[in-house]
Amino acid sequence: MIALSVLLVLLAIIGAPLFAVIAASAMIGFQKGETDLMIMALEIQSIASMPFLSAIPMFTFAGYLLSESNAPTRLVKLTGAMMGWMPGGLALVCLAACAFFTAFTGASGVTIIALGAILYPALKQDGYGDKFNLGLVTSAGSLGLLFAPSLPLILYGVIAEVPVDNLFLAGILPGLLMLLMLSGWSIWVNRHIRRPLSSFSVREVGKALRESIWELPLPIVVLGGIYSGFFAVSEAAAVTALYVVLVEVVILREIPLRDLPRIMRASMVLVGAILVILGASIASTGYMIDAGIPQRLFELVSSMVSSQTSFLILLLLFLLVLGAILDIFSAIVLVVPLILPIAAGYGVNEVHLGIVFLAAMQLGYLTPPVGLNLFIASYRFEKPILHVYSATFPFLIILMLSVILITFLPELSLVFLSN
Amino acid sequence: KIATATPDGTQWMDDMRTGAKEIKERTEGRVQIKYYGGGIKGDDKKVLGQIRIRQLQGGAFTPSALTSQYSDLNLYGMPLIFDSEEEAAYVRSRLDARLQKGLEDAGFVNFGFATSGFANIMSNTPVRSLSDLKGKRVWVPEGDTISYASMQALSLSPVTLPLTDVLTGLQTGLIDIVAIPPFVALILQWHTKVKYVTKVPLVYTFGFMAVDKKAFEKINAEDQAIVREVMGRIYENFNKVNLVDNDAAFDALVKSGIQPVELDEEEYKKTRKVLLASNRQLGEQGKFTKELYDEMMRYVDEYRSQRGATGRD
Amino acid sequence: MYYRFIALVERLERTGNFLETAALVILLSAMMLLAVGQIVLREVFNTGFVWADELIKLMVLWLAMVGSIAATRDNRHIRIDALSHVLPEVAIRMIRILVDLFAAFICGVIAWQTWRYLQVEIEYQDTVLVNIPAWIAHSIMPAAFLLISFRFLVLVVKQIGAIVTRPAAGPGK
Ligand code: NA
Ligand code: NA
Repeated sequence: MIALSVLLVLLAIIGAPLFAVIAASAMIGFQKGETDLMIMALEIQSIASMPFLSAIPMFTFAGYLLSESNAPTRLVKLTGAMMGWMPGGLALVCLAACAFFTAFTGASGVTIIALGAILYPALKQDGYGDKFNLGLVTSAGSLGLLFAPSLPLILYGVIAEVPVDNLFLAGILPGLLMLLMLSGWSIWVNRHIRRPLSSFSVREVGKALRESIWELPLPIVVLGGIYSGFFAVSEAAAVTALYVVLVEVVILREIPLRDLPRIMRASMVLVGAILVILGASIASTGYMIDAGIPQRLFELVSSMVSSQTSFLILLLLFLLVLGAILDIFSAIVLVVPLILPIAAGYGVNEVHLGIVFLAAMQLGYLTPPVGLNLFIASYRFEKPILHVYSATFPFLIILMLSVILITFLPELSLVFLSN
Repeated sequence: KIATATPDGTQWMDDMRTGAKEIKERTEGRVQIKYYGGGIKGDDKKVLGQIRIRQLQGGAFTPSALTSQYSDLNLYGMPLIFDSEEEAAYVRSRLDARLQKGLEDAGFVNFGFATSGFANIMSNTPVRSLSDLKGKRVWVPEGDTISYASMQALSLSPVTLPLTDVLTGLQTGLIDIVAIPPFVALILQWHTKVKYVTKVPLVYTFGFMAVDKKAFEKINAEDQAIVREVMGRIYENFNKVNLVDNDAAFDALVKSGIQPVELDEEEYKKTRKVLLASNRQLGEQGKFTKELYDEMMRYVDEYRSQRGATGRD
Repeated sequence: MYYRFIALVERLERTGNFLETAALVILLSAMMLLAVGQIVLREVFNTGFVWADELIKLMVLWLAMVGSIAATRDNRHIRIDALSHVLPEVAIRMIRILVDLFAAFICGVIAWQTWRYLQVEIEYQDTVLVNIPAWIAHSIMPAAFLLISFRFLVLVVKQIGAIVTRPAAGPGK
């Protein structure tokens, strides 16, 4: 049994598709427990009984559409008009625009590709140091992860059975904290750059607002719709997706109709890859419940740590290691079912746990060896991977500090939920 | 191996585990029951599937979960059938055995039904009459076609949402009204999101344990008798205790600031008429055995004529 | 022989690609329209379909399965990609052959097991969406995993082809 487990881990590390590894481990476990392997059908088809899940394909599609239109350019222009007058303004523009864009595209690397291409040269032209620019664009590429309606937030809600709209509220302050800390650092590093990008002009802002008039209602559609009770989270996703189609294809005509099938396919490939891992993970969770593994894990952990604080420290360390090797989606579906009951045993709120989990996983985008943003930036800006590592390092430290704050100040996550 | 949605650490689970221990001792270890609480084995459909592939041997269900196996199971649970607990008890004493037999013929051994009381109307605007319901969105559990038909018969707008979405739905106003027994509302925390409760015996709710008949018949006859005796006793006890709990829960709701509302007597009669007609129509469509439904209604009338009046308080 | 096989595979691939995309487009569009339609029916007409939510959830399952077939074709399944930046190309290709054979085998087993459960559902006459036989809705699982298994085998064949037809000196650095 142990030999088989080691073999599976080895297969995963040398690049076997994760869903196959997870499914294999579940089937080996079931086989050992003399459970009929037909159970796999039951486990996988429970994809069809999870609430909220339909939000994932529809928000993903909306995000892909947005990134193929000219929305990224308009977004940069708008934030530029609003914040460009400040010293270090362009760096702030970069952070804000990336956060907004990532919330809608789900941090799948699209942000760096879509926005980085505009921002990276602009930063250079404005006199920012090359290393700073590279680090900024790379780390900003996953910054909006905690803002609604980001895909990992929804996936956590599905897995942990926490109302997704509560997570949306909980992510606001922690997300802003990350944004503010990176902004502060950017201003500090570039304090010698006195020349603002532009002077503040009401007319410029007005012009940029008019250009973005169609995309601006999006956050209102999503959040306003949900919190006014007009529709449920999954319905908000459908409205968003149809709205984006209407705007980018029919009204602005930036995406020709004949491109829609290709974009749909591309977005559903990502959805398929995530959901098949989800299906396999449901099976492995099912086996682990049968074998009583969560209880044993809990006993093990509680024999090591006694207080909530020491548990949270252990959790953070664990998540950092996890984020270094796993991508965020696999980590959520694989690990959340295991740590949820343990965290509950230490009195950690499940919504707070979700925010901590995602915030820590966000660091994973930037940590070697497996850091999606590092690879994408290295590829996109044609820089050696080691160069990207070192450029990103200071940002990684800042983000790590913010994650520690988010972990030990649960009020940040829970302040809007205390009714 | 038996799955239930009841969370570990509750009185129910303690009682069930005590029963399992007694069974184990009296059968000298030949029958051992392991419970999976808190719904970790998945929803009703998934539990049923696992029973088929022998991964589980049984589960605790509510009637709507097994109506596709045995369509008469939810006869008691149709809207506004009974006026009072006493009336329900009277009818049940005449029909329970028949339904249990029916369920057993459908392949599930069971040990009696434990009521969880009447589902009451819980809402954010006071519901005193049928017209108070107009234009309001009423929650209906996913796939519950009978409730759905009832809502449509009353020209209300049913909203189907999964259980996990209801709390949010109430908070945001996506739904205005839910029907649920008070103590279940307390467990699910739904009482924090409503302002009024109308004490009307809307739907008679109950739960039961169903054990795979093939698995049950594998144990020898004496052990079967022991299991039936112990589990039957436990479920009979649940049936009693739950009613007390439900009354206490109603008081707790009122104490927590929820306003009790009475339904107007005339309105009640009018509504009941509409719903009973809709029920009969479902029977004619073959959704359940119409003759059995009529028999149930005869017992109801019998009880009422004995009492000389409706048993409603 | 080898090249004729490749040509056949490529023709199959074009057709398969088209069918997948068509299925994804139809499923996703129908899902969006149905979800928005439910809102309109509820807000404007105070009504709705009792089966709509269940249908949307089944569509998620179908999207997941068809999307996963497409992800295999595009070689976009999530993997821990730690080695591809350190090892030489041939080594990576050989490792890929090994792990994709493994994935093909696992998916074949899942296809077989889900197929067996389909027979159980037929036997018990399970239904979804009020009165549709459940096996129709769930038939996507064995079908999809069979195709995914096949796609992984095609990936293996392609890797072998790339190693065999590689210029002796290897790609110039
Ligand atoms: Na990483
Ligand atoms: Na990562």
